[in-house]
Amino acid sequence: MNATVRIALSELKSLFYSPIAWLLLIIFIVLTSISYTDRLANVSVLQFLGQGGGSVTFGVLNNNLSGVFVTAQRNLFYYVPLLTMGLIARELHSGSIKLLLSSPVSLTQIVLGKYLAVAGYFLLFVGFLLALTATTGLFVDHLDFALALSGMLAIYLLALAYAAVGLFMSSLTQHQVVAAISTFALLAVLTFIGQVGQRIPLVNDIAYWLSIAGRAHYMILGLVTSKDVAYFLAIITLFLSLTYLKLAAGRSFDSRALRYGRMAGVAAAVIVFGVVTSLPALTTFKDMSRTKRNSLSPGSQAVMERITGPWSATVYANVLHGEATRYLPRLRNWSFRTTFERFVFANPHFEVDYVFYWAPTENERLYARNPGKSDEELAREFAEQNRLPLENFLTREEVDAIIDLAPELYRPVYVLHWGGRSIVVRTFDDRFHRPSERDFSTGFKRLLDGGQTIAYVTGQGERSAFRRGPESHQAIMSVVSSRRAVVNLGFDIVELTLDKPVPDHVGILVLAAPKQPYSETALANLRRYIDAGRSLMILGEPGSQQALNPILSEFGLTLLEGQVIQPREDYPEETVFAEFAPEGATLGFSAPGALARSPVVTPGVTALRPSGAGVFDATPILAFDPTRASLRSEGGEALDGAALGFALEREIDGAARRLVVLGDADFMTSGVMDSQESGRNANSFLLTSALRWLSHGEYPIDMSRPAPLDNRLDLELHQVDYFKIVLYGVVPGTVFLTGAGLLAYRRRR
Amino acid sequence: MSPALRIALGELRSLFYSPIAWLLLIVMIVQTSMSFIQRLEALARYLGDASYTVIMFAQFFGVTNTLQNNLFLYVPLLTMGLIAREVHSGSIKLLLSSPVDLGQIVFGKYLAVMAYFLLMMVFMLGLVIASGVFIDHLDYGLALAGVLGVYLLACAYAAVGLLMSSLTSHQIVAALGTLAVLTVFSFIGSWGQRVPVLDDITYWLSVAGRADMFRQGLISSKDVFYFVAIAALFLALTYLKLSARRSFESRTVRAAKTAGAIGAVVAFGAVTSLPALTFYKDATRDKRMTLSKGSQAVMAEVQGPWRVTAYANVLDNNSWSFLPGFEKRMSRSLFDQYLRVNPDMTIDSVHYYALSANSRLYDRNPGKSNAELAYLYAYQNRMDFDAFVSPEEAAAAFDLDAEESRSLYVLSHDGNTALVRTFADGIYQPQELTFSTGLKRLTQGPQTVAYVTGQGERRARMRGGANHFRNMGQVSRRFALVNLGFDIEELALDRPVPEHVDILVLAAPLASYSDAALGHLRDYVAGGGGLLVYTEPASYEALAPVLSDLGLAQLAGQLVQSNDDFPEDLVFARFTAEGAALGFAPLAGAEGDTVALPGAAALQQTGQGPFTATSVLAIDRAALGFALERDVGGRNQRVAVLGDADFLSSAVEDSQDLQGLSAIKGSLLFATFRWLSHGAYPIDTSRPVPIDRTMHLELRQVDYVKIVLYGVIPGALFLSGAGLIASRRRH
Repeated sequence: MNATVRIALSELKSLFYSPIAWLLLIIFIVLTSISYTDRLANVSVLQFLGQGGGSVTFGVLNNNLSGVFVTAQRNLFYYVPLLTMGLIARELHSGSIKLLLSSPVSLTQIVLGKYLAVAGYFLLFVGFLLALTATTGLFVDHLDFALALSGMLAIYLLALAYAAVGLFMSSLTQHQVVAAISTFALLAVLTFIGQVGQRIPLVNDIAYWLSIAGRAHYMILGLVTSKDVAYFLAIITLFLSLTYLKLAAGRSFDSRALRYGRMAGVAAAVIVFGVVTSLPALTTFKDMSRTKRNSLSPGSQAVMERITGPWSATVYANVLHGEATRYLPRLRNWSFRTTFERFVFANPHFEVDYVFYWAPTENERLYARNPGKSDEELAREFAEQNRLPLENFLTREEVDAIIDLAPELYRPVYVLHWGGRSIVVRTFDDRFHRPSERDFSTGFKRLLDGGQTIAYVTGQGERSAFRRGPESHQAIMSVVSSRRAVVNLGFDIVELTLDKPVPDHVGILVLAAPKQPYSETALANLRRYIDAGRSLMILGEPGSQQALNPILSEFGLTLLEGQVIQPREDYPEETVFAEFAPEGATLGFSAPGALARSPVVTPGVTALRPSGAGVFDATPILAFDPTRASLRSEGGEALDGAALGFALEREIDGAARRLVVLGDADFMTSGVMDSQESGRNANSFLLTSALRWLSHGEYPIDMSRPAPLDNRLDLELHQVDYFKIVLYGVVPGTVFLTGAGLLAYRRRR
Repeated sequence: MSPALRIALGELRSLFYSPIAWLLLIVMIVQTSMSFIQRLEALARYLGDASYTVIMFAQFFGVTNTLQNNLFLYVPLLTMGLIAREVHSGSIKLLLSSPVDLGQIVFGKYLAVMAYFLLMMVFMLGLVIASGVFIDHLDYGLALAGVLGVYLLACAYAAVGLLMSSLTSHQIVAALGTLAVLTVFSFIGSWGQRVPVLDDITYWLSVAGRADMFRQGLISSKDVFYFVAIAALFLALTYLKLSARRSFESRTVRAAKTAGAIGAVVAFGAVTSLPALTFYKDATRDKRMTLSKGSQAVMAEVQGPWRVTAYANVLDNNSWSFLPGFEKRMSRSLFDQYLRVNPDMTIDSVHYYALSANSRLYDRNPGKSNAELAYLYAYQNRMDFDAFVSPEEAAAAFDLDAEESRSLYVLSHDGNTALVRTFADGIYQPQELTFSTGLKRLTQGPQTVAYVTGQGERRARMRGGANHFRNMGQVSRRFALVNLGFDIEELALDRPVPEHVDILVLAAPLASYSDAALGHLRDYVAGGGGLLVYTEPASYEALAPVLSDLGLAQLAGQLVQSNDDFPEDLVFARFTAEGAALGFAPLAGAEGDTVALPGAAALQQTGQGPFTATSVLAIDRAALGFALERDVGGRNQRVAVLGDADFLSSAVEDSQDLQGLSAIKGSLLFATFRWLSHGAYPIDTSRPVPIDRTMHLELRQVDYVKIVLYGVIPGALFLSGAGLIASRRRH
């Protein structure tokens, strides 16, 4: 048996002959078990309340807020220093270190042996986590074991890194408690160091790399990256080497300069290693979760596969905007992980550049707080406050010369560059603010395929896509600061009149509830547009029959006179609760999951009936409840064969022409779509389905992910009590008795 | 000098002759300073209107809480050696056989730790004073209450640490044991919630949230007594443990003594937390932890016993917030403030089951009846299904349909009852405004608002975009008038207006009123009833006779303002200067001064009415709202006429297109109904705007603070400590 292993074994023995190792094990088991039973109970309750359905593995074990692994990770911070504090300090205190150092065993073997002992001890922790995972597997079909494994790996690597730090601190002092507190302090420094050196990019990069915060986090979520693994290995190596050098100093006669030089050399080597291994091009990753929850969705992947070769991003941040501080240098490394990282994994030939500038923008609070100050003064204050050089900030004129940000209202934007092309990806007025995966993927797709242009026809009293008002479609179509707005889903929105031909770039033309009929010129232009094979969306309303029927008749459809009514106690009868027609599902007209049965609320809707004479294939997409709805009209017609919406298609020369016709234009006003009068409606899904159909599946891109298989926990809340008995009582009790027995036995000897 | 003091001094000396005390002090100071610096930087960038003292000291991420959380880790490290060291070295035998009284020994050691933590508090005081230098009008009371809370907490923790240190000769085992006990003390409040008396005991024992109340500025006698009691308990246990070493008492006697000490402390705790025996001191300048003036006026009328009964629908998707233990959570967040004014309060709860809007529950459990689901719920949550109440029984307390089977509170006092609802927003539970409103209804009764129907008017109790449902009748909306003191009804004018109607509303009728209806209306107005008329361009004809009775007329057609961003029929009105005297003015916090009116009609005085008319809302010179009053039979009669009915419609309420355009919509609604109800409702629970909202320290100057806090102070401590220890060693 080699000396290292022998030292490790004897160290382990002495660990278990003191009560601390046993006590720590018991505390770890109890605290982890509390978190485990809490999570089981929580998942069980949510399941009962109908709010379950996610991955149980994730919900119980890997959950990023309160899962078992995260709890274990948090507690490690307290355990490790208490375990490692005595490793060398004890021998320094008792003087036995001199014996050890003068023994024929090499110093490396001593350091490694002691470290191995702790590494062996922490295997017990991992073993307990493994037992919890296996137990969970008994109550969940298709437990995502690889995901759980990733969490355990994270805990173990983190414990090993902490232990290396603890070993080093233990070699510095003969007071064990001082060693423990210093370990706490150094670990705290390693946690916070990422914020150091905000002003100097290189220093910040190094500090960020040194930071241990969040390293285990991603691994617990199931994302194992080579740079994180390399980080842990590097930290372990660093502190083991430092321990070696410290102890070696005790028996050599090297000068101080030489000793510190060696330490600095080791530290520098490790940092260089770290910086190199975190270069995007050298980073590989493995998403351990079965549903690939940490990777790009299949939809985004399909886009990124076509983005070959180098790509880059420029962030233009207006320092007068309320969110400007999100773009400060110290937050960039952090924000990389939440924005670009997934895309960089897909294509690592990436660079990012930040541009600060100042231009007037919507920030009433800033101006109200600083009355009378010019924009330049405010920009200077920003620069001084955040210690950035003002001369690096561009003025409005300078930024205007690079890119036209006026349409973006001088809000912060990300600009993607690839293959000589650029596209703006916007930021939003919501809590996350930054572009999400969908927004970037949409941007990439626009770089590849271009956007689609939606044109709202004006001039006949149609609904507007731009002017704000109770009947307007502005909120859902054209608000640049709204993440859900169609203008951010791959479309450009314009308005036009039909007095001249529709420009070639328009892909979808919208006639939204005109009040007056179209002129002959307009109809001719419309016909020319349709003959060119482009898409059309027609939205009716009670009162727009006259204007629309001449057009609809060409497609074999009629808007019936009057309006559909559906008497209800709690709503006016004009408000019809429509539903997706089953026939439309094959064309993609449906709402997902829990909203599948939610109504499409249409206040004031007309019915459509196909005449059978059209050359288009008409598929009903929006239906009413025939037992309750009726038609209120002068003619007293019945609703047989009618529906509230149709998708029309016709193939000419191999190209499909598509139309969507709906009997209501109100459903996509914000007042209706966002109504909080009753439960959620499915109105937005009708719009999304229609746009995807009309754009031939181009936009909005589909970001859906496969559903997890491990979505049901076969355990009722009260059964968690049995777990509590075993986990709070039996298991820790056994450990306690074993430990007490061993210690008593040892003492008797 | 008393022996206890001498022992304390000796213990302090030995603390400071070891590096641990110095190291801990330095680490605590640096960590607290990091939080202080972080807050300073946040405040230097802050553009909002919150109190700076709150942000610095009282918030969850504030300085005080940072120290409070760290204590959990530091106290065990400091106390672990107090007795364990002496047990380990055997010197305990010397001490115990000395003539010094054991009580003096225990207390002396404890005093030493208390004195040590005073050092930390001196540092905290330094931070408070520094904040007072940087921040104008710092709320010292609030900041200092937090410091007191942290100190009491540290002392309680230290007593636990002292006991654990007496139980073992291993210092680390003592530290870990202390950590474990402290963990138990922070979790214990959630134990035994289903067992009546036990839940009160565990709740009292729990340390969680105690110091938080101090941090937020509320010092209560029960919390102070709690800390004193816990410290006393653990000191007594330490005493008993050590005395066992030198006495020959049987185990039974010792166990009895221990149980006696615990029993005495629990009894003390139970007595001192009786509401009637609890005294409070709100240390904040604005009395932020006390009921607002408006609520206090309401509570002044609630004399004698009163009761709050929660009716929780277990099938509601928020039913978890009424699981056992909710009374205590609600007490701390809301009820306690009322309890302080009138402690004669009973809280109880009834769980019922009825069809809820929780569609996912039904999707997940197809084919199960409500009773079966309730049974499952009881089973899952270990509650007693037999104690659950059927929908029929719940209906005896309130109208289940009208309340949409939601969870709510029934308040009762002096034979009267009133409902306080839960709401479909992120907060869910009632807050001060709606709860005080419920209490006011108990003593003053509601105001009844009746919307006239039958002529195509906007409706108050029916959904649909054009109706006023969201603002008037929606029970699940916190700011709907139905939750602000008004009963909302609908009626037809085919018979006389019932006596109990206080405010009659004509909301933009499309068809003309019949002669009979006009007759009833005139009778009502002649009787002195309150009236509110909303006009619309389309109601020009229908309202002409009504308005002419009032001495007003509507101008034909509609107002337009041409604008690139909006349709021309969307116009923006402001309060007039004259209206301010009647209360028609923006509420505090309104960020703007206009209300958006989609499709409005201008009004004018015809000069022959019996009322005194005041223009309250206008666009330039076009009047859009009048408040009218006159005396009828010695009573002041009030009428309001507004030139638009859409601004209150549900679709406008929810439309993001119009969001931010109507800064004073809420102000107009509140002012109108306060005027019409003669100031009765909605009640005013607003609070003064904090005055500590400026700081004269710029971000780059924080560097100097950093130098002092990260460098000078810890450095000086380090040098003192190192010097002291070195000189000691040389001796």
